[in-house]
Amino acid sequence: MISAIGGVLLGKEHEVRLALACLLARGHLLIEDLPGMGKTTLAEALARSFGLGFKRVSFTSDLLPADLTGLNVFDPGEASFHFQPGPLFSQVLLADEINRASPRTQSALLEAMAAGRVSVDGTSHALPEPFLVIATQNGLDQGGTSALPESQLDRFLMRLSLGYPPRQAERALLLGEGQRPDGIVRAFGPADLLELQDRCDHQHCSPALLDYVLDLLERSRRQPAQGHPLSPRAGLALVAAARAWSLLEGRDHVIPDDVQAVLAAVCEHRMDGGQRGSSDPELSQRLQAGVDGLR
Amino acid sequence: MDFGRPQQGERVRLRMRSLYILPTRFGWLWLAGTVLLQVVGIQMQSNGPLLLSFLMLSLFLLALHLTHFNLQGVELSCGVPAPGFADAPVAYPIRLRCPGPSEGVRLRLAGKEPDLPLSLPPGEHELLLRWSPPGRGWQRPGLLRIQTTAPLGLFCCWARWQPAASQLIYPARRAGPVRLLASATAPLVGERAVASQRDGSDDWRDLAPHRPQDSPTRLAWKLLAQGRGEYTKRFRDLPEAAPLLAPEPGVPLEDALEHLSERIWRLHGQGLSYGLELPGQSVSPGRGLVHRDQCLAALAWCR
Amino acid sequence: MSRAAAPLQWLTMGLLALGLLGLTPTLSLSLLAVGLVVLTALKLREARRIEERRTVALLQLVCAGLLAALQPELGPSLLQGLAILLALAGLLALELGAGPDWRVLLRRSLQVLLAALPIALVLFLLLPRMMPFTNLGWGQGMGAVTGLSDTMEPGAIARLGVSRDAAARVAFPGGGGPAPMDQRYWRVLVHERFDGQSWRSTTPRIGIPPAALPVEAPQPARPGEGIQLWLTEPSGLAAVPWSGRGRPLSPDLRLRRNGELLNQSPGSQRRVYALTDSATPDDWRSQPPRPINLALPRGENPRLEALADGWQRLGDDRERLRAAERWFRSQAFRYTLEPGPLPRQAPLDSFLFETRLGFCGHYASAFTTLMRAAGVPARVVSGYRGGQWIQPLGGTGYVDLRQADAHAWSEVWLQGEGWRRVDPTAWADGDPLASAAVAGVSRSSTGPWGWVQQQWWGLDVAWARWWLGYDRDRQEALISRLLGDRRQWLGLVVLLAVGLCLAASLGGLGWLGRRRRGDPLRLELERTLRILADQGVTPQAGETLPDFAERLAQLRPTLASPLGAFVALYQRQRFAPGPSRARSKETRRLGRALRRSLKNGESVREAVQRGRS
Repeated sequence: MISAIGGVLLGKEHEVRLALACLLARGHLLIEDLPGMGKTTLAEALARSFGLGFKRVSFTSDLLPADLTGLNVFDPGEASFHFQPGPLFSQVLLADEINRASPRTQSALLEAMAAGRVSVDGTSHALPEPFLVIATQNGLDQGGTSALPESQLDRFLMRLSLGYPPRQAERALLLGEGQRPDGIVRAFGPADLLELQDRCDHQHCSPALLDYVLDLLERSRRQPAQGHPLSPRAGLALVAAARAWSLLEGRDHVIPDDVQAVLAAVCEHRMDGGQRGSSDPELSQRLQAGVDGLR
Repeated sequence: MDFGRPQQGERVRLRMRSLYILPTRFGWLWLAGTVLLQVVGIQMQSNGPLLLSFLMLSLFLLALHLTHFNLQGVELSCGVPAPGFADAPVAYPIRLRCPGPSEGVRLRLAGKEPDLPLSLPPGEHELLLRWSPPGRGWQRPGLLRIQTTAPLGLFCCWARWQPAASQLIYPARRAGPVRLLASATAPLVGERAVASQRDGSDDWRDLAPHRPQDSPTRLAWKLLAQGRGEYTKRFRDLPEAAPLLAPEPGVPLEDALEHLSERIWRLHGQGLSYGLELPGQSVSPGRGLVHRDQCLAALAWCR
Repeated sequence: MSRAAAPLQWLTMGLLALGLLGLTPTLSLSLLAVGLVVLTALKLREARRIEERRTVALLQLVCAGLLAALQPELGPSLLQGLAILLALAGLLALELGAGPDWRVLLRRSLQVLLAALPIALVLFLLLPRMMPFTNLGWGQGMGAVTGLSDTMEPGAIARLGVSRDAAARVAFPGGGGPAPMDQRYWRVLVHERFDGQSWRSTTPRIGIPPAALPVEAPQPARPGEGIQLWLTEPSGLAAVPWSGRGRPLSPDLRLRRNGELLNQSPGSQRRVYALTDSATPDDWRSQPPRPINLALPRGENPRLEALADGWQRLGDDRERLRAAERWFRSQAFRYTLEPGPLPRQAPLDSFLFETRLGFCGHYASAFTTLMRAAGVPARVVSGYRGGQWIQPLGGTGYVDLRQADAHAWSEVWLQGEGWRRVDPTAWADGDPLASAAVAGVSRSSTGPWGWVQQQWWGLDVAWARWWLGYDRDRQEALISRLLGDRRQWLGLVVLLAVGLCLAASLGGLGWLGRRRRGDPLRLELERTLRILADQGVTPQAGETLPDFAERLAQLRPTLASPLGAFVALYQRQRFAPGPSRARSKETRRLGRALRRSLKNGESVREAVQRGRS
């Protein structure tokens, strides 16, 4: 399946893998890059390959929270209100250009992501399972955007940035050898995804591995000069992502290499507070170098 | 006991020749206690005090070596110091590489009280030392003294080192007047402000006839209920005022820089945009951590 | 400063205070010790800074030393040792930062103490000792606690308390044993002066400077000669118990003409001394009587004198003795501990002819007076009789003497024979020793507590023998045995031994410090990494094992296969679920194989380099 998506996104095997791990770990994904790098394509390809109910919302500055959640509409015929669900009630929500929306709308989305349910006019509505948000975000130096606050960045399990494709891949792209996402054959069903997610939770984490993760967390807290300290939630995210990664690697247990593979994607946006350029995973690299990887 | 040739360089390894060791005052007292017990033992022809006094003497001999081992072979190097403000103690990172367990290690920068003793397991450690920089710009803390009296406090073993890495110090933050220049993005006086306004969701602006593609949430339900037709509410976001900050004329430059420093700190805390205009350089308006650090660094370097 | 510092130091103070309880308050040195402990406690209360806390720890050690001088017995010594351990842990707590808790500190303290002990023992055993600078009489003023006193006045005692307190212990480390029960008399004091009421001893009080006496080193015990090792509780008397035979083995012991053994060692309240256990010519037995042995205030006890006058007509001293025995046995004398007081006027008449109730003092006193009145030189001797033979587990047996065993008997001078012991108490009805012999059981402290106590005293005897008994002479003997006549090398030997012990201790402590408890697999990996580091290959910062192995395999293609096998198994064992013991063993085997090939690889490379050059 990775190769299937890889066919859509030429030369980005590692990023595709990370995105997949994110889905398996029940996390939400933030894809951040300059326009035209294939963010939307990746998100779409991911959703299609699992055959998930998929809705796409392009965030704009005049998008209101109710546009996402849905609202109670007055039906003049029946003279009563009935709830009309918004695009949030889908299994995969592709939130395109999330940083173009106003902060109020952003926080409405993120609250729904955290709680798994939405309340409109005092009534609580459960979101479907699985519920995944793939948000894409422009680089910050683009005009007319409002960046996500740090606290909300924490709600995304991973942040990816795609970067430019390698020369060979780009040549293939120019030649039109790439596939369109709508051409992807559905390889798994939603039930398979749920099962895989379940298996992720049972990947074995040995005490030695947990020690490694704890050392990473502790080191990030001891050196506040190098980015924000990692929260306990970041630790949970790191373990969950590493579990998913180890499953993708075909192992039944997690090793430090898995943690290192997801470290940049999971921790970088938590440590730099969304302020630094996304193509600079310097903080997590420094963190990784500061902890003995031989366990 | 604070003498000895200070070591120089980015990285220094403590050896026999760079380490100094002498008994502490307590060490001498300990020896006196040993002699006292010896006298008691001899005078009373009693074995207990004799053995205890010999035991204390041999602890003294052992402590000489154990204390020395704490620092022997320890490698000191500078970390990369994060910038700090001149008005508060700043943290200076020191890396220690211990070949074995090092106990009761205290680090002290010139003119500071020694830190609490640390017990370090073998391996790499990074420690932050607090010191108060004398002013803005690139600063170096003075002599670093590393010492230990562990395990028994009988001997003091120390070494001195001049860490080489400099630390960028921003001007102190002091509230005061700051000159505000009109921003390039802010509306100029007299121009119609509306021109630069964008649609948004914060402030109600006016109504417009409802179009099918407009979101139902923006429908003016009240008007609809009153039977006055379908209208869509329109909102706008206020444009951000991004002032350009400059030193207040008539205030000495150092003071003006400190005022600027405080203002930048405050504006960043409120999440607002700002720019900076200094003699010789300028920073265009923006916000965020990187921007703030860029502005503060410009203040630190300003001549 | 660790949080455990204050509790540890207070606990030490508590132990020291407990040690103070056992001191004799009248002794000047114990006052000093009490003062020092109180001072230390006050200082600890006031102490805030680390420097002050350190001083407290040192003061605690000095206090423990003083207590050790005052109470060298086994029990208090254990207490003092514990106090020293805790004081040291308190000192460590001040230096080792906030981390370690009390358990870690105690372990460290024990480690450091054990490391320091070899050096201390070398110095203690071999460094020649000095004589006391002056005799300040520090040992004076001990309270008299025993049932023995240098004045015996039985008539004034209405009721004799029986104390089960320990009086003395005598062990026979060279083999042998005590005399049979009815012959077990341990003499202490000889009472020769009689004033009609009380018998006085001529023994000097303790604390007479021994310098006046000729100090000559006694002959050491010959091999095969039995030894009596005595351990006496504080008595306040210079005279100490002995069996009446044997030769003193320490220079502090002096034998008086009348058969009293004086011990003039200063200081220690409890005394330890040794005598040979062999039959020696008993000089004191043949010392002729002096006029004082016949001195008697006439007219005090008229009926007694009348009785004695009848015996005086008999021709021989032995006849008179026999007549007296017959007379005593024919009267209805009864042994009791509660005889009631005797009148001030003619007390002995009252005892002999009216009450006929009394304990050993009455009988000895009356019999001796009778003998003197009959013209036979006689004197009263007090000491201990009997004692229980105790064989502890794994130690030398000993005779346990209690204060209740205190006894008085008589000695009469018989021409041609010398002084003969006569025990008139044995003629009375209800003599405890005789009844015990008849019953066939000696009184024994039964029950588990008694048993524990006996074992403890057995340990105590060993302690006294090896620890308290180690003095200058034993040291001399040890040095002579070690060096023979090459005494001039002693300094060098001591220095060398101290140096060796220091090196060994430091090595041991370093080993303990480096030894990290943890996964044996992890240690295995570290060993391998150390070899690699020696060969100049170290993992980069943060590098994981598979990455490192891959890099290494590229550097050294020959290593690829053992390395691959080791890493795969290692990773599996460390991170996979359900690690197994067998696989762990296998991993370690692979690790060893890897290290071997590493070393071989090294030598091969060197060989190649040599070949090129």
